[in-house]
Amino acid sequence: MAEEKRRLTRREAIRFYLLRIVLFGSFVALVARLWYIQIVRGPELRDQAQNNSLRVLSVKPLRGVIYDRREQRAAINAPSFSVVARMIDLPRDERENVARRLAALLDVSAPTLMGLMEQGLQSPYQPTILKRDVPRHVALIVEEEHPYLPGISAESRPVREYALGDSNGHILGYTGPIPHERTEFYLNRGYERDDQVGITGLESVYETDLRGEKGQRRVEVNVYGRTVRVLDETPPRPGKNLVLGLDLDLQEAVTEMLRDGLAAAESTSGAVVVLDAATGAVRALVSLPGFDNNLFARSISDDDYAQLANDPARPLVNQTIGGLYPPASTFKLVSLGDWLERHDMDLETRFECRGSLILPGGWEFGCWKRSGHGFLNAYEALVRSCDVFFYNLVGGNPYTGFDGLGPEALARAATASGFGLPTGIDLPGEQEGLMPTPERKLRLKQEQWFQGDSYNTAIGQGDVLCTPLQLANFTAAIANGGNVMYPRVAAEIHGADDAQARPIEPRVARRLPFSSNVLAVIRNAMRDVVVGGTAIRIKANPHGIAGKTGTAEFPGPRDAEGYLPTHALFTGFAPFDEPEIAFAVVLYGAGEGSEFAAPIADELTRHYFTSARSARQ
Amino acid sequence: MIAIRKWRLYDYWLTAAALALGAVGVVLIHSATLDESGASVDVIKQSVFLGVGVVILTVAPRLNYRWLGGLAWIGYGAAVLLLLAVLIAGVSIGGSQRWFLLGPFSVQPSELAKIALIVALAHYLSAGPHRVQDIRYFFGSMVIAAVPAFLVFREPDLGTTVMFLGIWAGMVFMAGVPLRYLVGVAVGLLSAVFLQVITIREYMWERIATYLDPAADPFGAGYNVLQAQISVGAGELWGRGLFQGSQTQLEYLRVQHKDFVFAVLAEELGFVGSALVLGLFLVLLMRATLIATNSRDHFGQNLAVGVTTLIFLQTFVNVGMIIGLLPVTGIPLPFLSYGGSALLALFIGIGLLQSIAVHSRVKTYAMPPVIRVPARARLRVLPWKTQSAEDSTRS
Repeated sequence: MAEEKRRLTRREAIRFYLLRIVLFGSFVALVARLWYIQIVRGPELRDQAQNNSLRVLSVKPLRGVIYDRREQRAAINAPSFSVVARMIDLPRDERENVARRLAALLDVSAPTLMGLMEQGLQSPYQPTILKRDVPRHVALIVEEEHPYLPGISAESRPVREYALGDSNGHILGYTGPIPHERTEFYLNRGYERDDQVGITGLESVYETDLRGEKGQRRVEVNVYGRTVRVLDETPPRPGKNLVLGLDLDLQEAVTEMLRDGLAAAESTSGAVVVLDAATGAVRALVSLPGFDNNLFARSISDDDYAQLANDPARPLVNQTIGGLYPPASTFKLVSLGDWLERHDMDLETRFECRGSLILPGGWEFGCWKRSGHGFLNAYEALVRSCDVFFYNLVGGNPYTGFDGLGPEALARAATASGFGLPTGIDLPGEQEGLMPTPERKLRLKQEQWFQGDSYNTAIGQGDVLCTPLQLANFTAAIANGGNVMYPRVAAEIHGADDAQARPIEPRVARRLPFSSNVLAVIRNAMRDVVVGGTAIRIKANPHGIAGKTGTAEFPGPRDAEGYLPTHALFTGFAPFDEPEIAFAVVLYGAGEGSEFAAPIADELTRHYFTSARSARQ
Repeated sequence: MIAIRKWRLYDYWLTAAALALGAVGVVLIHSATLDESGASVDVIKQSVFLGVGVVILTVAPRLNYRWLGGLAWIGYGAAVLLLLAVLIAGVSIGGSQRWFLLGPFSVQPSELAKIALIVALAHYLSAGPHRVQDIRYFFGSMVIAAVPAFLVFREPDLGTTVMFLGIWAGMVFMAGVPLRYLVGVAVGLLSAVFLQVITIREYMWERIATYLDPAADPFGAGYNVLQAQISVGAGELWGRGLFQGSQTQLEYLRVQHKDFVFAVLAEELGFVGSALVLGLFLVLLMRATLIATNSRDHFGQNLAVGVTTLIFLQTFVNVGMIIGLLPVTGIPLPFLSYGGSALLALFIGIGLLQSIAVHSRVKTYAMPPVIRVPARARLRVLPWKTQSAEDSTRS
C-alpha cells in the first residue's frame, strides 16, 4: 500500500494561500493594536485603572457633646445608619432598578429616590443620603444585597440624641441636613453635601466649635463602591464639647412647675427664665409648649412637622427670647429708678390715688385697685403697685400741675436698662422688644403722642414690649448692683483634650443708669412686695425672695365685667441679701401676676436652693 | 500496522494548542470569578467541559469523519428544530432567548448549531468545484446558512448571526465559488442592512454607536468597552500579575469571564501573555488550515475550512472588540470564554479536524509488506492496537 496526498487544484491552492495570508495578517493586526494599547497607551490607561479604584473618602468627625453645668449629657451622638448613594458607582441604566428595589426596603417612593439620585449627580464621588436613621436590620439587608444595589451602602451616621427633648428643644436646637438655600454657604466653608449642620439653638450658634474637622481615608474600592483595602488614613478630629451654665435638673423641674401653673391658669403658653444674677449665666430657660428636638434630629415626618407648625400656641417659638409681652407693672421698676435717680432719692413726694385718673378730654385711666390707694410715696407705690401714682410720676397731672418725668426721659432710662435692645444671648431668634417714645410713635404710626401714652408707658403698657429674658436680665442687673450682662447659655468650650478648655467669660453689656443707693432702695421695695405687697401670697418662701408682679393687659376678648385679658408676670431675685439668681415668669393670658406667676417663682427658688444647689456642692 | 501510521498523522500541535488555550481559560475564569468565598462553581463547570474535550479529542480520531456526510441533513434538521424550540420554550436572559435549562447546566443550541451548519455545508459543497460554479447551487448553500442564521437573529443574537454568515462565506469561498457571486451577496447584504437601519433594535444601535466612540457615554453601553480598554492598557508589557488586576478583581470589567475574558488576560498577564495566547491561536489555525489542504476529499477539506473559519472569526471579532477594532457584538472567545456549549462545540470541531488528519491519506493497495516490530515498540502503542485493527478492516 502506498499513501498519497490529494492534489489541490490551482484555484484551491490560491485560495488557501490567500486564507493563510488573511489569518496571519489578522493576527499581526491584533498584536499591533495590542502593542499600541498596552505599550504605547499603557501608562496612561494604567493610571486610569488606578483612578477607577482609588477613592478618597472623607471621614466624618464626631460632633462635640453638650454637657450641662454638672456634666450631665444634654446632647450626645447615638449610633444610627443612613442609606447613601455614591452616584459614580451607580450606572445610569441601573438607576431605576435600584430605586425600585430600595423603595420597598426604605419605605420611600421610587420617584423620590430617583429625585435624590438626580441631585446626587452634582457630587457623584460623595455619598448622597437617601434615607437617614434606618433601622439596623434594614441597614444589614442593604449591605447584603450590595451586588444588586451598585453604589448604595448603609453607613454609620450617628444622630444627635437630646436629653429632655421636650423642655430643651428650644435651647439646644437640633442638627439636620444642609438646607437647600444655604448649600452654597456651607460648601464654601468646607462642608460636604451630606453633612449635618446645626439648624437652630446652640447647635447652630456653636456650630464651628461642635463640628470638628473631617479626616481623610484613601481606599481601594470595587465597582460597587465597596472598600476592599484601606491605603492610608488621616483621622478626623472630633468637635469640641460644650459645657453649659444650664442646669438640666432645674430646667426639668421648672418645666414641670410651669406646666402645672399653665394647667391651673388654663393658659396655653408661658415662659420662665432663670439667670445667675452676677454673671448672666442661664440656669434655666423654659418655653412652653415646647417641641421634642429629637424628632427633628431623626428627620421629622411631614405630619409631625405640620402639627407643630400649625399649633396656635406656637411651640416652635422660644417664648423666652422670641415672645413679646408688655412688661406691665414690672416696668414700674424703671419708672421708680429713674425718679429716684433724677430727683435725689425723693421718697417724700406723695400723689393721691382715687382709683382712677380722668384726663380733661374724658379719657379715664384706672388703677388696678378701684377703691384707690390714697396718698403714696414712690416706695409704697411700687410695693402696692399703684398705677395712678406712676401716671402722675411719668406723665404729670393736669390738675395738680406736676410735670412728670416725661416719656423721653423714661425711654432713655429704659433703653439704658436694656429694654428695646437685644440682650445678645447666645441663641438665635431673639426679639429686641419695643420702647416707645413720641418721636418713634410719630415715625411708626404717624400719630401724635398724648398724655395718655405717657401714662400707659409708665406702667409698662401701651406699646412697651419686652421678652421674658430682657425682664429677667434687667432684674439680674438690679440684683447684682447695676451690671446688665450678656446672658450666656454656654459656659465653657472643651477641646478633645482638656488643656484646650476655654471658658466663656461673663461680659457686661451696659450699666443700669441708677446709682447703687437707688438700686438698694429698689431691692428693698422688691423685697417688701413679697413681704407685704402685691406678692404677699408667697411670703412664706424661706429663701429671701424679692420681686415685682405684673398683670399685663393685651388686646383680646373682654371678660364678663368688661376687663381685657391679661398675662401674668413676675420677676425677681433671691436671696435678698446676697442675690444669687434672678428670674422672670410669664404666663400667657393667665390672669393676675400675683396669683399665677408669683407661685411659680416661689416654687423655683425653693427647688433651686434645696435640691439643685445641694446637688451642685 | 495502519493504525500506527494513522496516529502518526494525529496532529499533536493542534491538540496541544487547543488544550493549552482551554487551560489558560480555566485559570482566567478562576481569576475573574475569584472572591472571598474562593473558587466559583463556574471554574469547576469549565474544567469538567475541558475534561470532556480531552475525551472527544481521544475518541474522535477513531471515528472516520466521512460517515458524518450521511448524517449531515439529520444533524442540520435537528439543529434547526432546536433553534426553533429555543425561540418558543427557551429561557430569556438579559432580553435574549438563547438557552435551555438542563439541571445545573444551561444549553445554548446556537453553539452546537454552528457545528451542524459546518457539517451540512461541507457535505453540500463537497459535490466538487465544477458544480460550485453554478449559481443555483450557490444560492442553495445560502439558504442552508440563512435558515439557522435567521432563527438566531430572532433570539436576538446579532453576534452569532454574523458568525453563521461568516462561516458560510468562508466555506463557500474556499470551496471555489466565483468571487463575483460573493461580492454580489455582500453588496446585497449591505443594502439590506441599510434598509434595516430604521427598524434595528436599539441595543444593537447602541453597540454600534459605542464602537464609534466609547468615551462619549461612560456609564451607558460604552461602559464595557471603555473598561475593557482600560483593563487591556493597564496590563502594559508584563501584566499586573495573575489575580492582581484591579480592573478584574474589583469588577470594573463586566461579563469578564465570558465575552471579556481576553481583557482579564491582557490586564493580568500583559502584552507578553496576550501575544502568546494569540500565538497559540495562530498555531491552531495554521494547523487547521494544513489539515484542510491535506484532507483526502472535499468533504474533509470543507469541514476543516468550516472549523477554521469558525475559530478564526470568533477570535478575531472577540479580541478585535476588546481592543477597540470592532463593535461590541457579544461573541465569546473560543476555548477561553466561559460556556459549556461553546467549549463542547469547539472540541467537537477540533475532534473533526483530528479525524480528518488521521484519515487524510488516500491509500493504494498493494500486497502489504511485512514489517517486524520489536515487542517493546508494540507495547508502547498497545492501547490503540485493537482499535487500529478494527479500523483497518473497515477501510
